[in-house]
Amino acid sequence: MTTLQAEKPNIKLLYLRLTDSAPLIVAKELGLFERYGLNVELQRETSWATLRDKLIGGAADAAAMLAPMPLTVKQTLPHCEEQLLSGLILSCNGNAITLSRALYDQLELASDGPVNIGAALNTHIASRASETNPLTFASVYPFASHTLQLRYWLNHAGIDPDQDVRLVVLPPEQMVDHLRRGDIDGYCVGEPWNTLAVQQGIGVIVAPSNTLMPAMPEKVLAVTQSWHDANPATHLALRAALLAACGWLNDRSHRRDAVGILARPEYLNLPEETIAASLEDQVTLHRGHAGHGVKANPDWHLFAHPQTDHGLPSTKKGRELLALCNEIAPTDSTEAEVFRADLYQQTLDFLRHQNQQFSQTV
Amino acid sequence: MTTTISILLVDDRPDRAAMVAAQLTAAGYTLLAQLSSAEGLLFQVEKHRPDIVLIDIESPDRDILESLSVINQHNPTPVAMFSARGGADFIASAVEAGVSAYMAEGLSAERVAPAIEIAMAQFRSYQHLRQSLERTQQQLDERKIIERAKGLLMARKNVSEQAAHQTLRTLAMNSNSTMRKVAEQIVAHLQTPAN
Repeated sequence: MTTLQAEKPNIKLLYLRLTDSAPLIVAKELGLFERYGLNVELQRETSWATLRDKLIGGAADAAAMLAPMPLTVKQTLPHCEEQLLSGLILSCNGNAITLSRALYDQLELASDGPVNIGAALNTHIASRASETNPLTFASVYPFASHTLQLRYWLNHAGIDPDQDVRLVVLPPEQMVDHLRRGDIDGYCVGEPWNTLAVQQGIGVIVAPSNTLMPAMPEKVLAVTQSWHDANPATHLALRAALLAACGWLNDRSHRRDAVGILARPEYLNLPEETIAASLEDQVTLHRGHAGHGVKANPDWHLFAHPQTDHGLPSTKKGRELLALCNEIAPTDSTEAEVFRADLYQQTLDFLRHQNQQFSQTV
Repeated sequence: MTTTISILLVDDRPDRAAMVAAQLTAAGYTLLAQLSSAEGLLFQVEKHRPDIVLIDIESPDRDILESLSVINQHNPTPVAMFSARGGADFIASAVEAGVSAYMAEGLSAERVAPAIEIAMAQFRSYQHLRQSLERTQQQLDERKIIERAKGLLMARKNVSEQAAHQTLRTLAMNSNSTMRKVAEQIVAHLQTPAN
């Protein structure tokens, strides 16, 4: 086996309490980091801005980050001289739009489905035009797939996301509580925070994100440019371990084991049945009679795969994301270059070379 | 200072907030409000129109502030203050101190920097205070468990306090462990009912 000489074998890696943090968590638990000579400490964060700033400030080595985040550093930290980059898209999809049970009941729907619910919501908003408080929907960060997916769904239903409703930002793990208190009427968030609201009987899933915008980049492995320059081999080892973890997760027979690991107190600290749904391609739209509202939802989580381009961060994908973000606030399309296809190719070459050596020795 | 800079402080630790607030006011800054958490933060920022918002870097409410600064670009709402000093060094020291700050567009970095530095200094000294408190607590706990182990040894083995102390020390040295760990083992062992 080719061994990498990591410049910095002790790594601190940041993540949030989300199902799609799975590649980091299983890489740790399956010993994949060790296989590539790394000793990785995982650190859980609650806020995306904090995760980003700790990475830029050098308090961590790498992070599982919202895909548009490294592309929009200039928009959020206008004069920050540090740049972020990504050589691996960890996952696509993984989110959903959830409405509060109360709002859903008011819509008096004849049938489900994102289009029907959207149309009913549009009618409902028109009927309450005299109310002073607009309906409020939350996403997790201004420049996030969640914001884009929520706006996309509202736009399609003829609802102006900037005029007809109020959009706010909340951290993922506070969504369910805010929905329960009635502070918000719906949200777009990553799993398992949609399934949890359904299981608690306070929310109804309108649309898993893969049914809205298929294979949209969701989380990327991000590091700073200066960290990458100083630690290229460490970075390669990290990508190799995480791509291997994504490969393991792509085998559906491993997903049950992944659920058991993710549920532990030190990681997501949630019931296994809550985490299992999206990883096992099942969506329960609302809680009702047995089996009611349960649907198969293949590809709710698409993890990076060497045989498809899901894990490939290309300038083209960067531009597409930035074009979508431009609807939220002006973006800079030159930033698309922080998605580094060359680094992804380097990871593939390294893994391929290693597999060849392995097959020659057995 | 020609006009005084106005500050909104968001901190869920009241004792620390008080420290920071006192220092900022003493330095001549106007403290508009002191919030325990960002509940109603959207409304509070609009109401007070602060020049800077200071917030604990670990606060989950930071993402709310971030969305305000990105979306309301034409309002005098805060923008991420890291722009003040450019490079990552300042972010590094802010992260280390635990402070995150957002400042209004159009404010010069030079005018705002001292206020942020005051907050950073206060956050740091608060951290030291907490750490030394925790250390003291730890030492107290340690003394308690050692006294208990000695007491049990004296009662069970019918030895003097000095001999019990000596036993603990020898055990710790021989097992390359600490007196505390040995004491914990002895307490756990001797506390189980005798067969």
